[in-house]
Amino acid sequence: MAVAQRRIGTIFGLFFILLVVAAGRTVYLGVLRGGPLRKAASNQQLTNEPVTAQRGLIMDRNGVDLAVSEPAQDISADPYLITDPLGTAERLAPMLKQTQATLLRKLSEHAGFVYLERALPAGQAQAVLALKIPGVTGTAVMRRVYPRGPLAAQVLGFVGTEGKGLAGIEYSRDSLLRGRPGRRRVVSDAIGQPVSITETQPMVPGKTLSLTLDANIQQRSEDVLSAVARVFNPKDATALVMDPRTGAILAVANWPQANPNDPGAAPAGALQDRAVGFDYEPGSTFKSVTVSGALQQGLITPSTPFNIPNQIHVADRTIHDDTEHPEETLTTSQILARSSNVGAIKIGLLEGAEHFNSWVHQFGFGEATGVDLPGEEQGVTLPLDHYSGSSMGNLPIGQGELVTPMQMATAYSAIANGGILRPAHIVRAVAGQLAPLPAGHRIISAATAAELRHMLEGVLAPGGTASEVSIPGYQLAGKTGTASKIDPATGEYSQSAYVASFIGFAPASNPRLLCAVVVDEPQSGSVFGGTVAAPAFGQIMSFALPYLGIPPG
Amino acid sequence: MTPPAAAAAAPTVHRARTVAPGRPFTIAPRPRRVSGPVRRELPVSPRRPAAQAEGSLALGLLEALHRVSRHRLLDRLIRGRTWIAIIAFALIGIVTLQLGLLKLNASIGRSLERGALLQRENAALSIENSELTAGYRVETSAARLGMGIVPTGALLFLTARPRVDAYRGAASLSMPVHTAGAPSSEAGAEASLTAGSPAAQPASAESSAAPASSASTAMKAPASTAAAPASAPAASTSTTGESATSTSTAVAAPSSATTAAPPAGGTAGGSGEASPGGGTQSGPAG
Repeated sequence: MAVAQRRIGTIFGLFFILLVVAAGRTVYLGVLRGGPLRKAASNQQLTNEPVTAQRGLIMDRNGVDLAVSEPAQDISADPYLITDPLGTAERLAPMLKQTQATLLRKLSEHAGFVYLERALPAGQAQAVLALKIPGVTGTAVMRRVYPRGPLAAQVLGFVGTEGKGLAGIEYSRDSLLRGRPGRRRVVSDAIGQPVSITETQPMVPGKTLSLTLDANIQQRSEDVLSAVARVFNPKDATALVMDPRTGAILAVANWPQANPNDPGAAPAGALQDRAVGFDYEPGSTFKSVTVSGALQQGLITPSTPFNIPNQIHVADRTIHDDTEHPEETLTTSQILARSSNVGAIKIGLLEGAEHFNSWVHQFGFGEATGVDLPGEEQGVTLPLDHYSGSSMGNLPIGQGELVTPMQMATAYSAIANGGILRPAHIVRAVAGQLAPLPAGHRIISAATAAELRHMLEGVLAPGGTASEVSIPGYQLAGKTGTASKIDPATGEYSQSAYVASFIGFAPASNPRLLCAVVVDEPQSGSVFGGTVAAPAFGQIMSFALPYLGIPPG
Repeated sequence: MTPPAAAAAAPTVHRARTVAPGRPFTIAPRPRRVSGPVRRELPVSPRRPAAQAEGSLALGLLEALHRVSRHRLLDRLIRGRTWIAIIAFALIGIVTLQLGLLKLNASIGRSLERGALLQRENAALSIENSELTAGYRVETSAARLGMGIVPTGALLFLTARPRVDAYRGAASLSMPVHTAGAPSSEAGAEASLTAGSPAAQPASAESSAAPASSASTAMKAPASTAAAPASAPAASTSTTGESATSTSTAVAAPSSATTAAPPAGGTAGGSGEASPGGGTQSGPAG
């Protein structure tokens, strides 16, 4: 009995000793070594990861994605940890689509960090990281892709390597598109599997932008400009298509083209949106402004006759009509249809410098239109107190002032829509919420606008300067423009450098579509607006009108 | 039996009386022994003064715990086999809980990966969708199917008359669909189905009007039918008695309107038979 009790006591004592040892070890690890061990554990198990915000989509009015963000990885390496740079370069070169020499150079750098590839698509990045090459790591980022390539490149802009918009809509609406990155705390187990995820800062994705652009009309406009470029070899060209009733921009095409997927490869100047950034002397397209003012003031009517000689003297300047002709009588309508410089100057002189200047500003020239596109120029108008004696010999015919294609299109929209000057807009909705239409204000009466529209039909009628352009079934209206450019070498108007333009709308009686085409310095063949820009207008409109289901009238 | 001499010599021993005289002497029975440890009653603690209330609370709790520990039910439970089952159940439960937690944790990682994968796939599909809807691609595919863009000016726009056309459109839904004759050989066979075959159709105004209305609601004719105007003008114009007059005034492509297919939801859905030559709001003006 005593022996049994002794044994029991021995076993109990043994267990008690073990318990004391365990307790002691616990105290040692938890109290004495607690701090350093906690720190080591958090280093191994705890990570604070950034959560990349997905940049918002940009789509056209029909929901076609024009700019998409896809997950990607920045592949980086620590050259100090790369044990076999040559072998690593050999393995990674085909996957990263770089030469071995380039990779070897990067992996041999005396640095602790080097980028091997930025924004590699996630699928490809996973294949790289799956090789588990020590020293090669990936950082999650977002990669911007423009699925339609060069379509509307100048409008969309592009994004830099850090995911920030650098041009176009990507730049002007960067704050909406960017979103806000988040952070999360991940606790991983011994094999690296996350066992706990806490969002310390929620990620906010970027907002979706819906534009007023129509991808098909945009594509067609760009195709037409490319064809114009092939035939006339200009310096550049731009085309604008918009709904004059609302100011919604359906297309902004620029030539030469650029690809926002590779902005670095774009030709110089190709990334500029010339629709808002190109200043030029409008030439004869400005005559509509001159005539509008005089009509609105009641000084003239469409049938007011004018005695039109071949030339006119204004102060020390002599201005000729484009085509030599004997002295003849032309009505206001005919002056516009034949684009008579003499006639337009006579109408301008009838208005007077002060009223003319007032109309120039009423039509929005000399200031930004307010379109929601970045990089808008405001053009240059001559202040009234700077008018010289001969100013009214060139301003009414569109020389001596600088305008942008957007300003001209906006001014003609006012004529097309019955007299309301309204800023154009390109953003249709943000995150599904329709953007409010910009407010407009009346500058001419509906009657004046209707008279002017009727007169502009004559430009495309037989005898007009764009009579060769027609679209079966549709009544078109518009105005040609052929403006000389200043020769920077001489400071005088060049005899070889012109800007050919055409601005028109259809159907003439109830315009629903307006198109402006501006071709800078056409080189081969013709230089006139009626032969260079007007046919381009016709081609764009002949697609767009039936495409949009716009009946003839 | 005591020897007489010893009995006479020894003094008589008398047990002290513990009871009162006159009462029978009884010895108190010993308490019955029961198995188990001897239970000792706790000494009753004297009542403490109010000033020692805090200490009494702890003691009270201890007493209560002690009472619980000595409760019969607990005793029976511990002495029995039930507690083994309870503890076993609890242990199994803990293990199961831990396993479940581990599975949940493992699924977190998988969910993250799945989320990333879905994000990649969504982006890839968006890109693919955008590329597939490119205009030139659609045109190329359409050309391969024998379709083409309607020539400018070949479209006919009709004025919609909501009451009349809606009624006729609804009525036409109950009409059997007839296959067309020659024009249906074109890729616009669908179009000719709604237009009706000139030969097969009865010449009643009602039945002839219905297909015409459904045909005339289409503004955009498939280009394939536009390719066949010359081949079957008679067929198309004789589709409907009254509309024949109106469609025959359309210069550009009469069959392109009358054999137009599926009412494309056009904005100008009018029936061409409304007035001879007036059904079309504006034909190609030339």
